[in-house]
Amino acid sequence: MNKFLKLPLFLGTVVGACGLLLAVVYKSTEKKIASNELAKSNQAYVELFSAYNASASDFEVVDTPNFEGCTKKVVNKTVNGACYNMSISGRNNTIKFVVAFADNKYVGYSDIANGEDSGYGKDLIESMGDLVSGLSAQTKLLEYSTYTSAMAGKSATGEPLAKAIELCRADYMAMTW
Amino acid sequence: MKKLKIILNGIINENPTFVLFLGMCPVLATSSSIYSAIGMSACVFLVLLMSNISISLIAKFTPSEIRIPVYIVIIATIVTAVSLFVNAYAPGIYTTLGSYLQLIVVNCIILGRAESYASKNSVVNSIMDAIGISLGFFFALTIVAALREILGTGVITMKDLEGNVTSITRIIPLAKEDKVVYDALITEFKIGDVNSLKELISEYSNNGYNLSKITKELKVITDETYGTKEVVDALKLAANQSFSSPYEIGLLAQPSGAFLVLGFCVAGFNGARKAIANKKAAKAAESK
Repeated sequence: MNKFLKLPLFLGTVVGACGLLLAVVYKSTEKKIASNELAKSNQAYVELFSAYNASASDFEVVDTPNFEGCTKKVVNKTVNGACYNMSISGRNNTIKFVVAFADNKYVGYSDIANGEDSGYGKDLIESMGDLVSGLSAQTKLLEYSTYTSAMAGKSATGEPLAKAIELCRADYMAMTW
Repeated sequence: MKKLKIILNGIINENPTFVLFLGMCPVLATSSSIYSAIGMSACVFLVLLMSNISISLIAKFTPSEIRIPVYIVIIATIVTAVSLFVNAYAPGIYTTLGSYLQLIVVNCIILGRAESYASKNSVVNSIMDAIGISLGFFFALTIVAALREILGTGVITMKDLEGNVTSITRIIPLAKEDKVVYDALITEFKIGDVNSLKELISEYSNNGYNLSKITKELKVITDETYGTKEVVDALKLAANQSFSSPYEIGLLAQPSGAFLVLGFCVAGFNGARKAIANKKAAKAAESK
């Protein structure tokens, strides 16, 4: 067989077989990965509202707001609180997190999944809970961008994160109870 | 016998980390804890085993001009499949390894063994090679990780596949005054009086102890479950995380510490290997 035909044909066959295998693996793990993330975010709601003695049944899914990155919005009507499931692009990979508000303040931040590097974005994500917990909901997190940029190598993670949290804050502030 | 020799070769004479100096990136990056070292070694084993088998099977039919792209496509597919499975069934390991799991694609141990061994040998021998090299990588990575974790943090932290901390074993003892505080807190946990425990925590916090982890844990655990074994265990974990020993060498837990520990291990391993080889040679010469 002509070499110009044989080589791409062989490579194409290998790539096709690999693609098929990946599709099968993706399909077989898709549900499990989604259920892991769902369980993690359900646990996050309860933990974030632990100070209000909330249980899983206190949360109710509402229509997903129409802003970038928001995949789900959950409200806790007993304490006028809201949790936002967000999915944004970080420095390395997708960052999934939950940010919660109640009583006109930030209740907390919980990481669901991220592929950021230790020493850079991962450290920032880990410190996010302590940074936002208890802040007044009037506080725009963008005002903290000086903080996130000042942490060398972390701004690529910090800036989209701060912007996404600000979108959630704005939505929460616009809510009427 | 030959099969066992292939395995031993991967562990000792061709140890990928200590002798061949391959795959240094994951060794430096994932040797901060024994948990991540075990997770990384398991993933490397799965990838190496499957890539060695597939490459050994198709090597005869692969045109030599495109063998490297073919190997890379196969390795990348296996790594992606393994990372999907790890994400689904061991999310704790997936989170701990982060981007280093996907970076196994460019780990030179995998491509190196594909090119130098699997493409030239039978499937069975390639499986033995994968087992030997993976065991060698596991021993090297775990030794470096154990030294870094124990000397750098004073404790060994183990987690389950979900990533929940299951145990923290203190190896390097606490300072005498910290031990007194730690014991007082644990005793109070066991008694089960939430209010007196909260008072004790705030008293110690005012005296400069960083007990934020215990305080957080208390917030999460409701009063009804207080006093059960699970709660005491959870608070013990938090207490272990809140204290640190003055005898720890914190630098070793940092990325720069990895170079120090690795250098020490490489020198020790190769020194011992050469000493044994010299002894054997001397014995052989004597018997002649």
